Amino acid sequence: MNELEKYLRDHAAEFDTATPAEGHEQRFQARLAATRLPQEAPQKPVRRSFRISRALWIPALACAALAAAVLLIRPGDPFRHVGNDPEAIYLAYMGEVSRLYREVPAGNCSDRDATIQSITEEETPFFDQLPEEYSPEKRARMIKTYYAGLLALAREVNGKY
Amino acid sequence: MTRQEITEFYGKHHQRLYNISLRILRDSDEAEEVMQDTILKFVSTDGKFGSEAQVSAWLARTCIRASIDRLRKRQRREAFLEDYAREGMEEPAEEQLRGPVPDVMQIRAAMEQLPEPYRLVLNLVLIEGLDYREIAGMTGQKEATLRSLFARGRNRLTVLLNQI
Repeated sequence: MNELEKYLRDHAAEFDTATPAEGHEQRFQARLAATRLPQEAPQKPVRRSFRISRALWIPALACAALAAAVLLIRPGDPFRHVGNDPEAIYLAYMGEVSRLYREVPAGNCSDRDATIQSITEEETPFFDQLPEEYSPEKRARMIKTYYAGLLALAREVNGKY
Repeated sequence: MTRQEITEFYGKHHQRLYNISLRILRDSDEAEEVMQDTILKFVSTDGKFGSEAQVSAWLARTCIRASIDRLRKRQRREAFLEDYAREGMEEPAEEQLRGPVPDVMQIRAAMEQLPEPYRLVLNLVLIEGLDYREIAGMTGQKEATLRSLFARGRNRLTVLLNQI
């Protein structure tokens, strides 16, 4: 790294001096007002069920519940609602990491935090490392698998403290 | 996050994100829009982060990615760095400053004179602190191409600064 490069890296923050045009806060507030926040989302309406003979309904329900439990529900899967957007997957992942930090361990908290941090923090997010030519579905599947693995490790370690 | 907390969050992060986007797009209106998109995207999700550094890193990368996407659309070309990369893949000999390092204002003015691909890569490497692998992921370019662009851009910048 030459002298100029070092100087630029050391003074990078000094390049952040421009400010948005006047009224930007009001424009943001207008956009925010039109944005539905997660905590303000309405509850999903309960679906009405059809009236079907109990003789058919009970076995069908049992089969459906079993299939859902095996294939769909996957309790604890933080990625089941995030679709294929890499950043949404990453946010869901970080949400899970944050939940781990909030659990108070019986043992040494700072040791636990350091270990979880070393497992979960990335210098370069995984989703930035995948080849561009992969389809969004393939990228999403790989990213979810990768972060699910990290979370499983972090949870296991968390349980040891 | 409540709406009041979001307003405070905006106050804390808007300037950095605006500058990140402005350096890439060079358009105040577009930079503001990308900056606000980035913050709204963050607050519209349920995600919570473990540390302030993680929040900052996520915001910066999302903002950079969105700005590069806009730049691509604006130029209506997929491989928007390719023309410059074709000048030659080998890295040129390094130019040296002939005097002391100029101040930030002078460097910023000189960077504004650089062709867009050079300015973009210099910004991402030196100001935003990204590595070539990350930039390759965002731009779709090979790391070798980016290294070449960086070396050429740094040389052009050095030549401009030597003329001050």
